[in-house]
Amino acid sequence: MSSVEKIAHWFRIIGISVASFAIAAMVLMIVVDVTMRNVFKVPIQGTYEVVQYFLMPLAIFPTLAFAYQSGVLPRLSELIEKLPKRFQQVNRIIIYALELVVFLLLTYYSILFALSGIQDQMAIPVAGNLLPVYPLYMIVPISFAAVVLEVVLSIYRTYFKKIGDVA
Amino acid sequence: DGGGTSSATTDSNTSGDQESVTFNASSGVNDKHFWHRGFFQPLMDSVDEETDGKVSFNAFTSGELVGLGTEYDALTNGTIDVALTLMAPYDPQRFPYTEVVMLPLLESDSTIAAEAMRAMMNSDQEIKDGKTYYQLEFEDKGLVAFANSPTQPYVISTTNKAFAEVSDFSRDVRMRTASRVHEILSTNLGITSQSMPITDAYDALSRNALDGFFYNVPDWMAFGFDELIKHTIEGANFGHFVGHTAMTEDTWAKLTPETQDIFRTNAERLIVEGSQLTKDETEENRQSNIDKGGDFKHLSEVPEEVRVHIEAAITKTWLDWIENLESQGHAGKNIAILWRDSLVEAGAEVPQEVMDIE
Amino acid sequence: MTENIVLFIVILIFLYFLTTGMYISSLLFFVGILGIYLIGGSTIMNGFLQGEPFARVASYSLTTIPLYILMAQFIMQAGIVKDLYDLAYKLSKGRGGVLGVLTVFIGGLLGGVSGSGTATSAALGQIAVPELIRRGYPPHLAGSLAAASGSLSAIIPPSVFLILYGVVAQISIGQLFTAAMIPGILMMLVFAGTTLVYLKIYGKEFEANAIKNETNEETSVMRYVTVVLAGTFIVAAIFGGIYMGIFTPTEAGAIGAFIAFILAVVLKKVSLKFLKVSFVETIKVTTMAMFIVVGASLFGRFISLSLVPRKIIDLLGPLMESPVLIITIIMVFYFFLFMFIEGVAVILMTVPIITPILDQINADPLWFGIMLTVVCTLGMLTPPVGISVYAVGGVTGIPIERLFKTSTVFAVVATIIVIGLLIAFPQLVTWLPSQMR
Ligand code: NA
Ligand code: NA
Repeated sequence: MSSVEKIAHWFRIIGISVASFAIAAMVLMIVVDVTMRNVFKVPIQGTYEVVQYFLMPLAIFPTLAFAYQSGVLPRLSELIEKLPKRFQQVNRIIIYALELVVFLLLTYYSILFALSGIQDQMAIPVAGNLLPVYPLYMIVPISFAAVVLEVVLSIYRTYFKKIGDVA
Repeated sequence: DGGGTSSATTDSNTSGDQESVTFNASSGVNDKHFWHRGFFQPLMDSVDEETDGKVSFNAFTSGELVGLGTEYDALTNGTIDVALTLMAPYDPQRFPYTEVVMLPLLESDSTIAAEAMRAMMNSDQEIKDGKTYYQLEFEDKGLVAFANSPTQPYVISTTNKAFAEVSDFSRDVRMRTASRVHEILSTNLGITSQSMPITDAYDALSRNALDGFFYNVPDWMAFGFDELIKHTIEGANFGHFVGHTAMTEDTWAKLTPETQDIFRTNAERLIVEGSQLTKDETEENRQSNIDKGGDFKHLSEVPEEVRVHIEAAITKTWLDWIENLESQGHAGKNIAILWRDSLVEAGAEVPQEVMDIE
Repeated sequence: MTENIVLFIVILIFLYFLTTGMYISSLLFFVGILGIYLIGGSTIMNGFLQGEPFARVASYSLTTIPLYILMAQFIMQAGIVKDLYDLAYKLSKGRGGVLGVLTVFIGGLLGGVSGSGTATSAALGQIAVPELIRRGYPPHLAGSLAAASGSLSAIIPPSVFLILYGVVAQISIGQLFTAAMIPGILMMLVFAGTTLVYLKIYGKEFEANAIKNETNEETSVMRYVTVVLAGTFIVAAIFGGIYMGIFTPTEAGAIGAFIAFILAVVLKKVSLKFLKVSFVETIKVTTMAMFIVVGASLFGRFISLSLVPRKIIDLLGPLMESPVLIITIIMVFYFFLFMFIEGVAVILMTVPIITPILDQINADPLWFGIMLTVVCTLGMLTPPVGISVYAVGGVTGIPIERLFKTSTVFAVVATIIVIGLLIAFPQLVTWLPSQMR
């Protein structure tokens, strides 16, 4: 399992790096566009489209797994913590199982989404030309698959490790 | 599993051939838009009535179920049964030909464009590989489509800057555009195009983040544009926007030939009635803008050099667009000629250089 | 009928897993997928699952979320806001209420440049909450105050909800923006008032905390001058830029982040750690918010497909004779809808079906839209789906339940007072636009 941990770890690092780069690129692109258009009267064509179709997906999807694992995702935990330990455990198994199904479904369907995008060569009009956007579609299934990995790791950490410790 | 059925609920019916179906129909515009009042609602109502309620619709408007511009994917993957607003001009990669309706003209209006659109949909003229416009654009994709009523002409309008001389067309003038054709046109006029959802345009115009747009006058009051626009040039028509009401051939096959006929007849009647509706609402919007300080100038009233500049840009846009399509392997010239001839036949006017294309 | 049963089952499942600790984002995805599947089968589920995530995320207007949060990170890490609160505290001679009012005021100010409440709530959570807690505010009050002040962006123009309502109901967006001014200020007053009442209740605890946390470090006058100048410069640059048409409110997020970064460089605060912390924190909260946005959108599609809002509205038919009663019921109905469903989805699914009722009772759609937006804004503060509260919880680490208890009080008080006033005196909405004509 430690090699899986390593893979997940690298997913997070790469995800954070890609997203940081995308956000920084958004700031710079918009600042340069605003400057060019106000000072030099020559706006940069395509800022809107590049930010929307390229930088936003790159800023969000790659860090889904990191967000899942970081503890930032909100949940209500007060009530469940007052219930019997045994119930808590069973409930946790059910929740993990459901999450696994949900993110596997999302991975599967976003693979279909990416494939149909590639097949149609999806492109958006920018300044009179067509800019291909389909390569970006691939990050959606990869990102959801990374969340699946995190869910699997959570299950492993919560149960099998403990059982191992007891033995 | 869930049966893999579409969202239409079907049950057998003994009293007639047409079995009862309820279609989920999605529109990306709101229920007050002229498309809805003049085309979608009357179409759904008349199909419902004339089939004695056997074919009915759950209509979702304003993109509640499926966002505007994403209807084609929603149709093909089964999310919806009927796309009321299949927006081909937004998707030139997959629908390269319908964009032709955005090409700029001189004189025309929504009813002229409706007649031209009806003619182009039914035209048996071969465009490419022995196929017609309808076959290339819809049939090849497994779609059955009906053209919605075209909008009134898109006109060029600005807030603070007026186009009084040719030097006013400069790169620091930012115009909101709705399609690739307008992007080409903007380049040819010497101004900058900025794509932006029309819903953001009010805010941008009121804060000077945008200098103007290409848009159809009857839609102005709904967004408050009549308060902001100060200068408009008429008599240069920067295209008509046309969407389609479409479904897959599988869905279409759930209708008996009689029902299909009902659908088709009503759609072909309503394309003209709907276009009349929006035409009738032009004057009210125009007057409201004039009351708030707006100014309309006809192309024949602007300085000669400005008129020549605009007409040259119109012509060049046709040529650039044709070349663009041809370079991607599409029959740009054939479709442009078909659209031009359908328009002129219906009573529109285009510059002589465009008439000369052959 | 089957739709009603499906809805009932799905809501039960939702409540069960909500209270037993499933992540809200996972839960929204789960019940959304389940509901869509139960109503439409696998084909229709296939369609929604394929396109929805990318379509939601690829949005220019949502860039405000990462960019405003990044700006807040830079500002906070440059120490500008800390010193400003410090100064305000000293100038007010230690009266904590002033800091609360200051927070609401900053929220209102940010609302004037930002279109969505999520980003500004997160920003206030980062910059104001630590300072409020340091000055003796109980964490749940500080956090709820930040969430409430941040949510003001959703009603104070520009606002995505107002734009959306204007589009769906076909009302001039300009008129809506003007009409929202007075109700926006009313909400600021109510939030400030609620905070003052809380402080009164917590009086002793508050003073004890404040004294305990009192630091002796002396900040130089020069430093105060610097941060006041820096703060003024950021505000002036953003407002000036937007209102002079140099950039749009959406672009203002990027410009603000850039200016804040330059200031941090000038103040010699930038280091590798500065950058790393800023970006990692921004990413965490942004992705969390977007995770919920996508899940909530899927859940909203399910509610749309179930046609339940339409059926509920149909039930209002017999009450047409008493408009005030109908409007009150509608607002209560909306309060509950906005508790569970994200604002954009609610507006899209209900406004087209509610406008005929408004026509019948002769209600002014402008007035109605503002009230709807008020309730929508407050929905960002109520459980189980309260995105402003999640944003603050995400950046501060304060437990969500503790925040919700207090933020719900803010929401209920504001609903009763503001909506009550707007029903009693519709001129609060209509007067300002009528002056502009
Ligand atoms: Na705002
Ligand atoms: Na809520």
